[in-house]
Amino acid sequence: MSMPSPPALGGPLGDALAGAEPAATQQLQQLAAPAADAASKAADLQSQAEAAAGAQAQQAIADAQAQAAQAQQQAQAAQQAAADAQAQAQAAVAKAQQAAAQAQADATGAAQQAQAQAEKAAAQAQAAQGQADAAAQQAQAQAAQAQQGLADAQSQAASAADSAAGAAEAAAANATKDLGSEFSNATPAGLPAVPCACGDCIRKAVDPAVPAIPGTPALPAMPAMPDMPAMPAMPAMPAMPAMPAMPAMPALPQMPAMPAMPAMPAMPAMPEMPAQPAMPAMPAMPAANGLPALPAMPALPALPDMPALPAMPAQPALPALPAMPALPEMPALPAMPATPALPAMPAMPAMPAMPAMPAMPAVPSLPSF
Amino acid sequence: MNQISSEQWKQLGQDSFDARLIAIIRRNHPEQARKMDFSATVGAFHRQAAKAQRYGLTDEHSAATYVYTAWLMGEEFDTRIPAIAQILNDRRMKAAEKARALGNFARLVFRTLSGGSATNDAARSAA
Repeated sequence: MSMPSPPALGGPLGDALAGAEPAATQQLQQLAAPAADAASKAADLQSQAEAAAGAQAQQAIADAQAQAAQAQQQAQAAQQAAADAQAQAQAAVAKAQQAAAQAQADATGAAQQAQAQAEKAAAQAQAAQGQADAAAQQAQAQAAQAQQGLADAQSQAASAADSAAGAAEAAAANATKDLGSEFSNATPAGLPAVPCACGDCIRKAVDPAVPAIPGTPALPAMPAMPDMPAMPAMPAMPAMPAMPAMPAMPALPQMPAMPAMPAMPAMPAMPEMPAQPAMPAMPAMPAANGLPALPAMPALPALPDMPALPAMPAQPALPALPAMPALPEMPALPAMPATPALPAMPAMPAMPAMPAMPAMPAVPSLPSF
Repeated sequence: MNQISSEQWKQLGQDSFDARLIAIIRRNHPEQARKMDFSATVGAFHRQAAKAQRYGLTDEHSAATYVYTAWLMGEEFDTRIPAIAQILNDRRMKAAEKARALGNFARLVFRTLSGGSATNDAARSAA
């Protein structure tokens, strides 16, 4: 089950009418009736509102004055009670003193008895004095409280005189004040609030010639900057001598194209060859029995053993390389003049630490009008 | 360069108007405000603001007073209450005078309904 939603407008009047008496409704009809003209009705409403405010203030003053009178009566009663208690205490003390004096004067055998009675009376008198003191203190506290009540009542009366609004109309009265402070009577309705009632601002606001001002982004907080150490002096830089001219570079001739290299087949592995001993020289042999003569053979040195050679993989063919164009000659570079010496830089003093800067909020852009 | 169109500018003004008025209602009528759905009420506010313009309440204070009075008294208060209709339709009265009359009327209504008598007060004050 859904609850009926309250009406968008008119809720406060509906709530107030729900608990109103018939007499109040009749008075409302009188209030809502038109007058001879609008201006006189407005003036009538104004005077009624002022009268109501004045009557309300007077009622508040009367209430406060009644409270003050009551508080004053209470204070007077408390003071009277304190005075009575003190009088009783004084009477008791006097009686005790009298009894003591009588006992001392009596020299008969009953003197001791009388002395005891006198001491008892003195103790009673002291107790009565204590009670009287307590009563007096209490009366004084009540009197102070009553005085405070009187001051409060007077303060309430003063503030009631200032505030003309009663409880029933307080909300509407305060809201009316708020409307006066929150809404400008110089700004046309529907424009964003212009914080100035001079009128120029509004004319500017409707001037189409004023361009929009772009907003600026928020600036982050800047951390504190530490001390900057002093910078030492920089020595003078010597003068640079002049650079001589560079001679021209001759042109480089064209490089011919390189033909393609065929692929090389793989080479099988070669077994290890043992060392060969040295061979002595062989003398020449004359021809004999149809065999030709053999020339003398020189001695052959011993050959060391040859390690086995691993198989070599096939090498791929290499493509032909194109011809390289001739490079033109490089012109001569002119001589560079000498640069003057730079003076020494003085030492820079240390910079003090800078405190942290807070973040700056973004500034919204201002529109063009 | 950023530029705000006239529609955006108008919307800004309307939003600001609504927000300030709602804040005043919430501050001064917390009980009623708690029961309300203001997102559904702003449409009624805009209708009332347009009516205020037709009655010559063109500045924002007078217009806000009119809308606030409508919130107190009800949607058709301008025609339902003869005295108010007389004042709003008068062409010689200034906007500020009409707004003041609306404020006085609302206060007197609630004073009367809360048990005080505006007319008796007036008579007592005159005496």
